[in-house]
Amino acid sequence: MTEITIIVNNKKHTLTIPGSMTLLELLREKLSLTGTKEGCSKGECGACTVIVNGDAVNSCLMLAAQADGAEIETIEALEKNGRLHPLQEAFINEGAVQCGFCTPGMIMSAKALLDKKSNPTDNEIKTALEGNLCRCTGYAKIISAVKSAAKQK
Amino acid sequence: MTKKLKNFCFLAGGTDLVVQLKENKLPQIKNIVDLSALTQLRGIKEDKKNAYIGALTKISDIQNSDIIKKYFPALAAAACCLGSKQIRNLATIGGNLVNASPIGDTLPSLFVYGAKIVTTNGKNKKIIPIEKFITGYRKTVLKQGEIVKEIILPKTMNYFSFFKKAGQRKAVVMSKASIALNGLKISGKIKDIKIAAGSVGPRVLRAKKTENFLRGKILQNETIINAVNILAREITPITDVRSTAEYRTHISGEFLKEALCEFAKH
Repeated sequence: MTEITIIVNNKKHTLTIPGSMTLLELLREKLSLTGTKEGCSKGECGACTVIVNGDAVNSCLMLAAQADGAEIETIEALEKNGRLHPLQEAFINEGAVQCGFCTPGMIMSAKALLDKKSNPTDNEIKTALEGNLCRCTGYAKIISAVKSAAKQK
Repeated sequence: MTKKLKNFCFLAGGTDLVVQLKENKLPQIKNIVDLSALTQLRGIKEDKKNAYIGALTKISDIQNSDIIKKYFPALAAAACCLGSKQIRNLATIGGNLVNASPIGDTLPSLFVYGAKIVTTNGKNKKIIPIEKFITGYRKTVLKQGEIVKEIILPKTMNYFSFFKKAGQRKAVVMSKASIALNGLKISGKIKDIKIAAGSVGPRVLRAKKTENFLRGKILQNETIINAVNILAREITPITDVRSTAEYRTHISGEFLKEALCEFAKH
């Protein structure tokens, strides 16, 4: 067991966790932040994407102990005082959500991009989302949603 | 510290290791030594002769580095197509190297740039050429308790670089075949050339017979075709779930042809 301190969605947590616990498991099971999804557990689908110290990562690949001292942002951080983030609104308005399982990971990958680049090209959006799989939408509306959100910011 | 520890392994980015641990492919491992706090092993420096890449440098930092893009564009290209953005933000070049997978994306470029691997056990340092560092399928010369500290890449001027990878998709893809090339022409003749082929043998292959053939030659159509034929006999691809030996041979040849055609115009 190991003790770590992490900041998740601007809130500090000090936790004792098994060394084998992944960041994904910590978020879902220890902090009940179940917005981040487990898809493949191998870093291939992106459903588990969160932002760690400003970078999008697969939380299923990161041991929680490695997040000691890190600032982590999950999908739950986006809504503020009942108002949806421009990305969340754009995904709804553009019809970019069907089953919704990939959506949190997609939005976090998109947010990581828009936090660094306010006016990305289509190719930059596709590159930012290349690690996120969607079985429902065919991706076109997801890309439109990210472009729309970029214009709003 | 690791002298007293048993059944341990080192952790860098974890993008391969964590998957193996979770799938119970390493049941003998009881302890993990996390290297990620060793910030002195992260970062890219340069002097007049070399670039020095810390073993814990993330693939995303290699992709974005001005030093790597300027002097080692094949490595920058390889970094761009490794995994996905999320994976590149965790994975390290040291991890890709020590995994020594035959399909490791950064490896062919490290071979053609003549990478020298600096290892340490905390007390003593060794510098090992990459061709001697990787000895076989997922095997390196690292001993228990040793880590890779940094990778030294000698700078080259006026060289032509090339890297291309074939896969089922554009991202999150294990390569079916890959070719890296670094070469210099003087008065139209090839003065120096290094070619490395990935995913076509138990470890990355330096195509030395192909290189020897090309050295001193002018790149004309017949020369390129002959070089492709020599490469086809030099590599030892297998048929597996990802591809066939025939396709791997074909695509490696196509990539070499593309590289040499571009080199001819350089």
